[in-house]
Amino acid sequence: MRMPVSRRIALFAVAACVLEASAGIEQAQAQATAGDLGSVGSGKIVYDDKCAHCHGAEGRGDGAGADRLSPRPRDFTRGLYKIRSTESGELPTDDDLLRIVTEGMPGTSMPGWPGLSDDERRAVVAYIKTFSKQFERATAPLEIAIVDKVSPSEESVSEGRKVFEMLECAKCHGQEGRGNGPSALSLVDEWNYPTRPADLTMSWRFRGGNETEDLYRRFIAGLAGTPMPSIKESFPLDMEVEDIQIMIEDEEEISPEDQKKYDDAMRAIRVKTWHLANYVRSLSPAENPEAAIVLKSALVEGELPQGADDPRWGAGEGAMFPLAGQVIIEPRLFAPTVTDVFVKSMHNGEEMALLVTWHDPSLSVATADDEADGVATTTGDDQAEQQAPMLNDALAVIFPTRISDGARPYFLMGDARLAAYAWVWQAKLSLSPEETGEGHGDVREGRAKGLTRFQEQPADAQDVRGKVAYAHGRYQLLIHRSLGTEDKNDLQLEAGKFIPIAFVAWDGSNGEAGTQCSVSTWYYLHLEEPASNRPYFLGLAGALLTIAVQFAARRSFRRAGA
Amino acid sequence: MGVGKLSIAIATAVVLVAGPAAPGSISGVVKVDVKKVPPAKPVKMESDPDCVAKHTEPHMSEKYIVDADKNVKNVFVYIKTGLEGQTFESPKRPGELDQIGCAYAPRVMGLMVGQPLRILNSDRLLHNVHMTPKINEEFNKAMPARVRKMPVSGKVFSKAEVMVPFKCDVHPWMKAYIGVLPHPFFAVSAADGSFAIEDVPPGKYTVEAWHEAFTGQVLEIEVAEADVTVSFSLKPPPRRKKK
Repeated sequence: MRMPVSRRIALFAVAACVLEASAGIEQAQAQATAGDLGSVGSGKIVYDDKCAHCHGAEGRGDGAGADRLSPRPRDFTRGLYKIRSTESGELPTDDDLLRIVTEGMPGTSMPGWPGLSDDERRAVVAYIKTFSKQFERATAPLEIAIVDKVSPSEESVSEGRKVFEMLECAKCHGQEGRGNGPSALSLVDEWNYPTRPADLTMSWRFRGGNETEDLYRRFIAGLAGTPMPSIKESFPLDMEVEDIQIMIEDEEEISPEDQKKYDDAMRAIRVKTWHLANYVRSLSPAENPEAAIVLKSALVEGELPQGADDPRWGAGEGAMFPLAGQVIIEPRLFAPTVTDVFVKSMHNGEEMALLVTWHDPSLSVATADDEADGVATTTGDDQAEQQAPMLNDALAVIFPTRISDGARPYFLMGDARLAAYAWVWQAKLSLSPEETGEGHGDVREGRAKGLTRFQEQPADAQDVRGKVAYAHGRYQLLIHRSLGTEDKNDLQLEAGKFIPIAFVAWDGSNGEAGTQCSVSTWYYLHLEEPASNRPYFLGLAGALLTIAVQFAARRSFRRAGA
Repeated sequence: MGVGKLSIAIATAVVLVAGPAAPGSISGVVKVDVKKVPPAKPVKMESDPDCVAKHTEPHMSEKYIVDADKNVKNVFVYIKTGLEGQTFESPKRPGELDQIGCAYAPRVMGLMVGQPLRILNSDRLLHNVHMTPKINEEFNKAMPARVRKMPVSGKVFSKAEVMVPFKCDVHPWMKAYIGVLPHPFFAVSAADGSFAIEDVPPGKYTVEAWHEAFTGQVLEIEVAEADVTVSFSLKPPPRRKKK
């Protein structure tokens, strides 16, 4: 079963919402029978039934499920919509809203509603618009023209990088686009809820789609209600063009030559915006990745890679395993930072190397002060606020304690009944972005009977070796272990078997620790088997047997004939 | 800010000069009613070293600027009611809002409805000018180092709104407030708390003093045959409850 990650997450969130909603549906139906007529009226019936649980009865984005969703459901009362085909400051078109209702929003809890009829979806759009006075405006919104498009090419991508640098996109999105710029963690939206800049290397999560046309529209329009600005007027102009622009602003008459100069300058800006769209799109794989089920560990000869930069790892980040916030055990986590881990593996018949990559906008490590108490820090120019202590970033790789009986522990790092075998890494103070040396890895093996019950093995029984690197919003954790160990408490890794494997991640700067983490379900690790002699012998034996049978048959035929 | 929260008082109109009904001025001082003047706090700009580099001394927060005599700077004083039915032409000359040392300058200003604004970037580093109004339309434009000025059409300020907040998401401490009014009768208090609104036609008005941190005040006054002097006394904000 292969399902796009975004869809899985959406289903997960909708399930959470629907749980909240069951009581509301009856109420909505009662209202519906007494409800008013017309498309807005029928839109209300759909809205109260399908939308109000998250978006709130009054469209304020405050439905019963709202607090558990990140990003939060849209507040419709302000008329602010992130994903539009219209210019900065304009309202969305009906088709813009219809598209979101139909297709949903990747990377968020908003699912598509293709099951509703076209009339129902149009009616709900008409009803949603009644929540904001802004839609009472008489003029139609000004749409962004898709013109002067530049096809993706190496040259366009490299021009786009220059635009990325000129516009200083890295201030929020980071040098390599992983949403880890210096301003990333301080951003808030229109409603003062924390918001994060997009990880530009995961374009399949972009809210408004990841075609270059989508990106072009986002750049021209900005994302209303978020810190993402429009860049249309962010390009420096020649003095001359600037003067013409002021004349146009003042509605003065301008000569045809001046008009041409101005039009040329505007065209140049559009071309640069297309270059930027091509560059940003190039940061993600061309094909949207799908979640993996099996992690294949390739058999190699000789020594295993000792670093993440070994060319033998190949291009790309590896098999993608989606993670979701842990919402089963209190305290829960509804808005995790780490939504995927990317994993590669190799073994040489004696030892296995596992390279786990994940994105986290900051390296967080608790200081001694943090551990002792909260620290008073000043945020912005507001009054001093008591801040929560910083927590350690961490990651765990989970296995059963043995694979012979096929039993899998509870996916939340086991439970009291059945323990899991785990490799747990935790950020340490000695780790800094520059320090990637061995010894800072601090991966410990042990047994866990739950997310908060990890018992590491004594130092002399530790058989794992870790090495971690953090740069530009990305962790790369390399773990080595012998396939077989002398320790009866260790899982014995065997080639050719499907070994259950799961992942848990914690982002310290997001307040994640203990049960507040993101978790994966069980997947499989499969170590490639050595090409043994057995199949060769079997083949040979088979061939010999065939010849023998034929020989015997021929003899018996001859006898019968004689 | 709801009017209900504001204390309403009658100001003493001091008649200085007797004469025919000619435009007068409304002037005075704004103070804050506190026992002890709150100390200024430095702004933490560490998230952007370019901002830190622009200051030799720490940049002090402008959230409230109060002198030793409790006079308050950056109070927006304007005629709130009393001009209904009168129309005033908006100037074509744009207002100017600069970004200097990773702070907006001025912090508080007024514009007339439909008046253009020119945004300057003296810092020559990336800011985003993000206007978050409740009544007008949102406006959010990136202003990278190489863009020194950006014209903002008067259409952006199409409706009266006190105040329109401005922020820079890249530097979350950066704040500015623009009062957009359908008339030119507004002023911003100076460092000594003084303000003056000139050429006010005779009439009865309510005048509001707005401040971003302190609770404002609305006074009723009458401009008749003379200049009017008023003094405002702002209250400290209600204490926030600790979580």
